[in-house]
Amino acid sequence: MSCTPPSDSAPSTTAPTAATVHTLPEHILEILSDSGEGAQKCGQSFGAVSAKMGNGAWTVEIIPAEIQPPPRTPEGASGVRIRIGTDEVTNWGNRTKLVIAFNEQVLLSRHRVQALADDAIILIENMWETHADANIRQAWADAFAELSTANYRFIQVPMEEECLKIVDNPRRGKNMFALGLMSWIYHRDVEKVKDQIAMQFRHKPKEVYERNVRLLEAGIAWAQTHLDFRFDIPTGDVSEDLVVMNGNTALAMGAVMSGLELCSMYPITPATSVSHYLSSIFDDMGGVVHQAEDEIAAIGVAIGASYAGKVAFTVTSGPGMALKTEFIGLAVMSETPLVIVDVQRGGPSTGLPTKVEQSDLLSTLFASPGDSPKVVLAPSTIEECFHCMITARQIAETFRAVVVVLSDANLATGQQPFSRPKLQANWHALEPNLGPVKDGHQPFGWDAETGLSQRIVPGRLGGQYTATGLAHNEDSHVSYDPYNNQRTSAMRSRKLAVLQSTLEPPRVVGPESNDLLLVGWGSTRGAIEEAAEKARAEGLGVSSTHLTFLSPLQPGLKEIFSRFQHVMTVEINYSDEADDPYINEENRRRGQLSWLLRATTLVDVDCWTRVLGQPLSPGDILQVIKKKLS
Amino acid sequence: MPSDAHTKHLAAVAKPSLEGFRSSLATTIAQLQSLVAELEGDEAARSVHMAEHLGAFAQGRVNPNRFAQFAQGQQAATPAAAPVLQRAIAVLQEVHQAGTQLTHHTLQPGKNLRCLLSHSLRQIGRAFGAARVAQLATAGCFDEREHAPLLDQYLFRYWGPEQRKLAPMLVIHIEDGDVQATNLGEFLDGAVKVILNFGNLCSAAPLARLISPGVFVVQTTDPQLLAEFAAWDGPGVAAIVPQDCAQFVHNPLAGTALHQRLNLLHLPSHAPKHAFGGLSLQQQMEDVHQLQVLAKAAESAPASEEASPARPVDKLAALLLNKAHLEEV
Repeated sequence: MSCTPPSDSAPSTTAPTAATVHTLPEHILEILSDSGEGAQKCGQSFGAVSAKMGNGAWTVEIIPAEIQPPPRTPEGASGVRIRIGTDEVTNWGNRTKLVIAFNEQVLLSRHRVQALADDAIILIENMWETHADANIRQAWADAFAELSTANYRFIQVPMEEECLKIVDNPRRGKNMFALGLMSWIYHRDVEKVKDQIAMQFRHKPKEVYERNVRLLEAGIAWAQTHLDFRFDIPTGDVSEDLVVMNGNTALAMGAVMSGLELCSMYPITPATSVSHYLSSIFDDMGGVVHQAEDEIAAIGVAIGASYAGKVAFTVTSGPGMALKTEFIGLAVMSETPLVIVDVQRGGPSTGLPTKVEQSDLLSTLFASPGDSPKVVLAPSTIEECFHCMITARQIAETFRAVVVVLSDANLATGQQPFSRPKLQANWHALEPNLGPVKDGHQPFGWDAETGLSQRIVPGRLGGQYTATGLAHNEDSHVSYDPYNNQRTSAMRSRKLAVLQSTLEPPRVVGPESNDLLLVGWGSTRGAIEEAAEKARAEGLGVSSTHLTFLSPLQPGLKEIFSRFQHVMTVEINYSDEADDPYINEENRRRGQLSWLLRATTLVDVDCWTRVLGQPLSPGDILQVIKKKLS
Repeated sequence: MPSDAHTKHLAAVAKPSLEGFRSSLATTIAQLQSLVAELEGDEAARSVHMAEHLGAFAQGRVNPNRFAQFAQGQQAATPAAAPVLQRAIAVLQEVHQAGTQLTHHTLQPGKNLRCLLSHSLRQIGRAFGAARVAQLATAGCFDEREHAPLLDQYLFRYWGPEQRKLAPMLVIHIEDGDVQATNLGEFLDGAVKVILNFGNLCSAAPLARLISPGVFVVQTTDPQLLAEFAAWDGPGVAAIVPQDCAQFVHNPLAGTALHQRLNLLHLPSHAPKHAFGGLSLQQQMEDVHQLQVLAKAAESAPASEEASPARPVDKLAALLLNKAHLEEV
């Protein structure tokens, strides 16, 4: 049986008289393919070009869990959602308005999670409808029966057929043809697109670039001849010097700029690309990327390097953090400065390796034997991924502390333009003091009030001491004196209170007192602030605040919360619904930040959380706000 | 005399290396100036500097003034170090401003090439000496009598590996060819690179004896061929030579075996007629012969190597056999 999509299904053979141009403040599009067909590359290129043209942009990769999932399955969908706008774009938005799909199965995957607007325009590869394999034809028919529940406008595109005119293997060309379609539809500057392609293939022979440009041009030509619509998203100010990158690249660059000289890691999704990027540039800058044999060895090397005077960092994800727990304790006990980047993913166990979640907050804070105080901070934008590394290193050294940077898969792979950082020599620390140690200087000469002490880098004359993970006194001599343990635990803990004394209360976006305060952390900031702004525009009393320091928490939270009728965290981690079976106030498991805030402020902080493996949408948050205030 | 076109081109080849060196100096100067301002300044100045140290992420989240109180505790430097740091900064600025005066030289007839290079590196080394002095001052262990001479000169032999990696490329224009290049070997370490621009005269193969596995050595008549040399991040020496000199490229990046690294492009058509730089005719003949021997060794090498490609499995087998100590059985 064959099923024809309900509208505009057959490609027109004649050119439309003129395409209607719709000028819009923003638009969301997706490109979807099987894994390995290059949709992600295409989407990220489109996002980068849009940003370079002056559009606000935010991209989110749609990544299958397997490296090579079976083709033509909803689970194998690979692609990118790109939200572009005239103004700054801070999140992936609500529903997708335009899709380019390489087959109907990958399209189904997005339809089933209600990612697409009801009136979305869908450009779909048409080869499957008439495929020689009857099973494929049947799958096509079944898919369209399911898709017919929405009012999508379908446009069939002979991608394979068009690409075969240029390349032998369309699997390696369709993405550039699709980039051509998108470039024409959204009025992209073709020269900039070509520049992007040139950059992408800069390490390949020239003919590869030329072939891809021909595919791009073929896509543009096809769109010109067959499409009757275009979208114009006016660009904003392009005078500012911007850079475009994803969060993992930003973290890596930030690490370099902060003067960190060693990255010791073990590969783990979605953190690995930090070290991939770093390994391509670090050596030239005097840095080292060390791939250790496992997660434990990775942090061990970092602690060793840091102890020896080169402040180091390790990068991992949730399961890696679990393995590193024991050594984190050693760094805390030996007061060795250390920066740990945790790019969070869905859990527990192997969980959702390629999907976003914010579920490592409590385990980062508490998953350690004994009392193991550490600093935890969370960047909320890709720009902050860059800058937070500088602050993290400074805190780690000043406080002889472990600083954990909690990023997530959303920031890791998403791209966003931001102001080119103006590099400062002061971001780099001076070389460690290698002069002789003054008489009386002890390796743990804690200041009784602050718990701070000056570290001694090995090799300094008169500075020899035994480093140990055992309880120790000021001279680093092992000490089982019960009062010593009480005192030294207090010293290590006090440092967090001292750090908190240097922090400012978080900024409240919206009125300072109101009906509802939304509290978020990490990558949800854009979606929360957008939802709150829309709610305020509808007359609702909503403000929001976003916490970047999670340990110690920024001061003044209790006072801020007291100015609101309701306080609710919005997070990407699991919590029981209050009205679920068996769930009551006593046993309800809450969002992780909510739990933390309730414990520290004694305020009845509610939560709304989701673990869908995808970023939160401002539209969904808006609905939650309305429900909360109704 | 070297041509103007050659001189300009060589300056362009050496420029990125000098810019990299000057950029490092500028960063160090900025860091030290900031430290001096912190040490000498009031609370407000310290606050401004702390804000810079903490970066944009801390803006509005961390109070730099309060943070500075605790950061100071980790810093060994006291206000007493400020005058010494000022002296170190002055030296660094002097070296920074000197620019090509540090790296581009002309060797006058009768002068010694080695002495010129040694002097040039000593002047460049003042920057490293100043950085060392700053380090000692911030650590509170600067001793005027012992350490102040480091601000005047810092001999190449004391340069550490990182400093040798930072060295800018040197360009020496040689007014007559009466020089000996073979004793430059001691300077070819880290990323020290030297270009010798001979005019119309020089010995037949002045750089032949400098060929060693990790050193980029090139003798050419065409300065345009120096792109690979400039991109190489290890030690190297290049000579722009007159037409009938030996021409060759020894590129360590081209492979591990000699035949991959050495490419002999041209040999002199005539035997040397003049002594240069104390090298007799016989010694020059030896240099050319040395090149021929190396080239011959290179030519004969591929066949034997290709005949026994070391596959990973073979390497593993060899390793295991070796470990088994069969000879003891």
